[in-house]
Parts: sequence; structure tokens; C-alpha cells
Amino acid sequence: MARILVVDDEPMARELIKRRLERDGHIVDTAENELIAQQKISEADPPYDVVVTDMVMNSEMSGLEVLKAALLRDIFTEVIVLTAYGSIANAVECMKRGAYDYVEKNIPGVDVYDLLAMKVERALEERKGILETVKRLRLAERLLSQAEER
Amino acid sequence: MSAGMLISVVLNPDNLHSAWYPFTVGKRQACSSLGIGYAKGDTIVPSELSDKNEGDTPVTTKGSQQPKEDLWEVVEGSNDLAKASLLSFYSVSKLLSAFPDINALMKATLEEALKSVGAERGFIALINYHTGELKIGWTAGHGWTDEKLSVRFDLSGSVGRGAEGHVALTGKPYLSGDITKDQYHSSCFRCLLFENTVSCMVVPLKGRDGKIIGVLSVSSEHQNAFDENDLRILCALADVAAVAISAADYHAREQKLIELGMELASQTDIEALLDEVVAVAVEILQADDCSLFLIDDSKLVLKASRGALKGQVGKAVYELGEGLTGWVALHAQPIRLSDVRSDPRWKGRYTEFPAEQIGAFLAVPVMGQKSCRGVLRVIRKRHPDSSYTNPFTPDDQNLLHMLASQVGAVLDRVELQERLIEAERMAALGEMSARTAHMLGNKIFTLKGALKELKHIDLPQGEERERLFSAIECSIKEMEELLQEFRYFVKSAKAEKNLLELISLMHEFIEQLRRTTGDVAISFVTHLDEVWIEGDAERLKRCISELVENAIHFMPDGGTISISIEQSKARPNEVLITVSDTGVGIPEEKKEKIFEPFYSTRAQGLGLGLAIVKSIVQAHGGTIEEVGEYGKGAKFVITLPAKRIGKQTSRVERE
Repeated sequence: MARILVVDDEPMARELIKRRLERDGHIVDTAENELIAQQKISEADPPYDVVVTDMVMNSEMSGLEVLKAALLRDIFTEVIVLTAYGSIANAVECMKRGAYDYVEKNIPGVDVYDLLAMKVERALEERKGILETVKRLRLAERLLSQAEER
Repeated sequence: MSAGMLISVVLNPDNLHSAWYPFTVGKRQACSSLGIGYAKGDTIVPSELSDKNEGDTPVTTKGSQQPKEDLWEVVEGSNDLAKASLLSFYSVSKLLSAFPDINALMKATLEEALKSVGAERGFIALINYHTGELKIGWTAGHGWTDEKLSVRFDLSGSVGRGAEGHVALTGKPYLSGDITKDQYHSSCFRCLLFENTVSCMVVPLKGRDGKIIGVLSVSSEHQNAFDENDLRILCALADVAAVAISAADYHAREQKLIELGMELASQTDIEALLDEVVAVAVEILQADDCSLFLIDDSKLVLKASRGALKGQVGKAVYELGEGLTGWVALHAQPIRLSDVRSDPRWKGRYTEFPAEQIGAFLAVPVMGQKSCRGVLRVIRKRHPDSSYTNPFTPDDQNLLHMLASQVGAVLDRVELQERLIEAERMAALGEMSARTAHMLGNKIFTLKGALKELKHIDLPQGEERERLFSAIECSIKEMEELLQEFRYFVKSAKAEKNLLELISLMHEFIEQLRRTTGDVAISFVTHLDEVWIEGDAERLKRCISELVENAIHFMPDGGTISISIEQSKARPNEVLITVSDTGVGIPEEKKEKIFEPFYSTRAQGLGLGLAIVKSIVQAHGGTIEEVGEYGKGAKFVITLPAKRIGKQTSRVERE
């Protein structure tokens, strides 16, 4: 049960991804391009847990703009990028900049929607683990500083 | 400095037969000072200078001997008259170097001749090698009527050539004190003209290659009016005339070549160009026919010809190496011959005249940047009387070679242009394909999702189901539209070319458009009556409708679209079609981008419109650009090459 933002310029695509993810019990918002996405990301409170975004919308690098905006808002946001035909260079770029994963929209015979839903689940799992670790680190910090004070 | 030196500096020394001329007008004085006998009533035959051969009436030849006395002693001896002679020479040579009208120069030369040698009449006649005739060019003295001027003397007659004919054929000067006593030459050209001629002198005019181009003839009604000094003077004047005529010839040639050069640079219609080249070659080389072959698919194909082979254009084909022409193409070397049949390479497969009629043959390779692209050849007919020949000279060969290399340069340029356009087209196509694939991919993604939802275990009901189905239908439709636009784009690069008249097409089409444009007014202005182009009517209409649609879209509150067709001032064989509107216009940085495939500022539409327009325009050999002022409206200018502009002439259109 997470808060997800779906960004894609194709209206039907937005709706269909939303339907699929809502079926898994998530709350889904949509945006039609990176500008609207940036707006929604900055206004969201609390920030989105996951952002699913298309790569090419207003420009060829739209997806990266969304990624940047999401991570700036909250470093722990999991971003999944949808690409039309896998360009390895693009994919590498996304991962280097902190995306969780990327998914190709047009692999023959692959149900992209299910694949997407699965990745969302895994992302959330890992995120839970990371958040847990962070919490513990913070606790450890606090305990250490308290110990030093005495 | 002596006037004699001055004159031999001005005149080309190679044309002077001997270095010095005794400048005297006083015949007796001169003869006596040179120790030459002078007899009344006889033809002068100074013994040292005569040249008897084969029973010809003795004539004096211009010798390469130096006169016995020093020039200035002779001149000084004959004071005023000599100086008058010198001055007249000087004035003629001044005319030559100032290069005025050739007619003025010829007349002046003749007048000087008459004065200097004391003749009553004179004329210059030029040889026409095609007809084998002497034709009078310029005259001096009295008694010349139109009838006399139009007399032609046939050089090919074997009997009674006359003095002029003899000189024209042999190149040897002729002098007679009493023509009536000279049986051999009495029935001569000049005699046909003036009956009471007694003395006469005829000298040849020789061109740069030593080729005889005509004769200069003077006459008197007195016996023994001339001596061999007069002959020398006349020779000198004849050389002046010959140089001037040659120069005028070269000048005319040069003009023709300059004209041709300019046309070659700008003309885009290759067929017309090749025809022009062939016509110019015949003219400036004084040939009887010219043919141009170009290499097409490893064979030499006839592309242009003037005479007998004209009907074979596109059909006459040589293998490389076949015949003289094929040899030239294979070895990229010229061939220059008089008798084609004696050459082992001769095949005689396609000839402008039957082989025995060919008097001279010249073929040069048409060189492109990398290799031989064809052969340009000229032919002269053999004259039935083979006593004089008219072969092509090395000068002629150089000239033809120059023409051929210009043709080669033009062909190279055209090929490069075509490749460039093709490369641009391929690039646009590549871009187009990439973006089309992307968009198709998006639609398919949607289809996959919709189908998936429909198959889901919680089958959506009613409205939701309808929405999903219509989403599928919509996607499929959009994909088909996309495919259609893509196919159209691919096809638009190759337009079908028919001859069509643009003005009436536009009038009609704009009428149609007006019925659909509602608020927006369309104005059509042109000063041209007719513009014939090679093009595809449907595709051109598509271009205009696309531009009009765009304009309407960007003028939501109405406005005016102005369409005009004018002749290009910079390139008169092109027309400019301008489509401008009163909308917002296009910012500077976008003016080129708008023609890219899938560029779109519209929510609807694929953004292919302008890319397709550009592709169509380019396929017609034209260009398109946007030159409007941002804020005042868009202005598209299309240039198209036209076959004919203006009023239709009665000339039949080439197929």
C-alpha cells in the first residue's frame, strides 16, 4: 500500500497502469508530462513512495528530469523508468543517476503491466529494508552521542 | 626609333613574310634604286624573285631575301611619299590595336591599299569552306553595285580559276601588268566584275594556323600599274587584315563560350544544356555536325546531336572501346583525323554522314572529376573537290576539349546535388522511421494493457468495458493513421513527373479551398500567365493544403492567407510560391526545426505535415523555407524549377 505517481504522455497508458497498480492496493496519481510531474512531486505530502515514468515525453530526456525532481524531493523515492525500445546507454544513465530500475514497454510476449507491478512490490520491499537500516543507524547515532555526553 | 620598327612591333612578326618592306610609292624610283628592270607592257618578272612551276603564268613570290639596300636609305631617298606611306601604315595599325568594328578596319585597310599602290579598285574576299566559294567581304573604289557584291566565285571549278582562285588555293601572291595577256587567269573573278581591268594584284590572307582565309585584290585600268614593291606593301596590308579577321573570329568565339559558360553554371535542365553545347560546338568550330555521348551503365549512349543522328538520341549505343568514339571513351584520349576509314579503330557504326563524306573527325573525352564520362565529337564534310582540305587544328582540339571539360564539370555538379538531396532524404527517412517506431510502440503498449484488463478475472462491466473497447479501437485507428502518414512520407520523396500548368492548377485548387476555410480569407495573386513545370499535381496540392491548414490552425480568430506565384529574379527559370498568413509567426530558432518529422506544437496531429511538404518540394527539385517575421505572421517560400514561364509560344514542347 504505497503512494505512486505515474507519468506518461499517452492518456490510455496512464489509465491502464493506474488500474493495474490500484488492483494491488496502491494509491495512484497521474501526470501527463515532466512539468506537471515536477509540480505534483513538489506538492505531494508526504512525498511519493514510487514514481513510474515514461522516458520520452516533451523531450528525449523527460524521464531523467522526473527522476531528478523525485530524488530531490525525497532521496528514498523509488523511480522506475519506462522506455520504448531499450537503449542500453539510456538505461545505464538512469541507473547511475539513482533509478531503481527500467522497463521496456515493447518486449514481444512480455506482460509489461505485471512486470511493472512486480517491480513496484520489490522496490517497496527493498525500501522497507533500507528505511529500517536507516532508522537503526539513527538510533545508533543517538545512543553514541548520549554515551559521549555522560 | 624608326616607324618601320614600330610597325613590325605592332603587327605579329610571324605574319610578315619578310622583315622589311621598301616603303616607296614612286615605282620607278624604287625599282631603279633596287636595281630591278621595269618594262612597259610586260608582266613583271624580276629574275631573282620569280618562281616558275608547271606552266603557270609566272607570278612573283614574296621572298625571304632582304632588299639590296638598307631600308632607311630607300626611305630617305623618297621623302614625302615614303613618309606618307609610313603614316598610312601607322594609322591602320593604330586601328588594329584599338580594335574597333572589323568593318571599319577592313575598309580603312583597303583605302590605304589603294592609296599606297595606286590602284583604282580593291576588295577583300573570304573563303567559305563549306560551300567552297569566295565571297566578297569589303570593297573600296568606285563602281561597286549590289549586284557585283553578291557575286560568288566557286573555287571548286577545275577550269579557269582566275587569279583570285589561284591565290586562294595556293597561297601564293599574284601580280600582273596586263591581265588580258594572261590566258590562264584571264577569265577570272574580278573580270566578271569589271571589264576594263588591266593590271591586278592578289595576295592571300592567312590565319593563325597558316590556313588561307581569303584574298585581297586590287586592280587598275592602266597597264603595269604595279611593281613588286607594291606587292610587298599589299602583302603587309593583307597580313594586317588577316590578323584582324582572326582576332574578330576569336572574339566572337570567346563571346559564345562566355555565354555558354554562364548558362552551364545556372541551367538545371540537362537535356537543354547538352543540346546547347552541341549547337555551340558546331558554330565555334565551324563543323558540320556534332554529337555528344555519355557513359550510362558502362555503355556510351548518344545524348545530343544536331543532324542525322538526332533521331537516335537515347538509342545509339557504343560499347566502350568500340569504334573511334568508344576508343576515346576507354582511353580518355582524343582522336583527330582526316580520313576516318584509314584508321584501324574505325567502325562506322553510327555516323552523321556516310564515311566517304567525312572530311575531318575530332573526338575528345568528356572528363569528370574521377573518370571519363563520355565523348564529344565533331565532324566536317569532305568537299567534293578535294583540292583543298579543311582539317581540325590543334587549336580546334583544345577548344573542344575545353567545352567537353565544362560539360564534365556540370555533370559532376548535378550528380553531387542529386546525391546530397538523396542523403538528406535518407536522413529524414531514418529519423522518420525511428519516431514512427516509437509512436507505434506506445500505441501497442496501450493495446496490450487494454486487452489485459478485459481478460481480467474481475471483468469490468458496462461503462468501463465500453471505454476499454473504444480505447482499443482508437489505438488501432491511430496506428493506421500513423502508418498512412509514414507511407505517404516515403512516397512523397519520389514524385510522378508530368507536364502541368501551375497557374490554372492553383486557381482551381484555391477555389476549392475557399469553400472549406470559413472565417479565413485566401487571396491569390500572380503576374504570370502560365507556368509549365514537371510535377505531380496531387502532391503539389497536398503541399498547399498542408500550409493552409497550418495557417488556419494558428489563426483561431480568423485572418488572411496570401498566396502568390512570381518569377524568381535571381534565377529566371524558377518560380516562387509564397504562402503567408496574419498569425503569430515562427520564432527564429524554430524556423528550421519545424520541417523535422514529428515536430509539433499542436496537441493533435502527428506533426508530419511540414516534413511531408518539404519532402514533396525537394522531390520536385525545389526548396522551401520560412522567412516571416515573428509576431507578424508566417511566410513560407517555395522555389520550383519551371520549364516555361509566361506566355505560351508556338514552339512544340519537348517530350
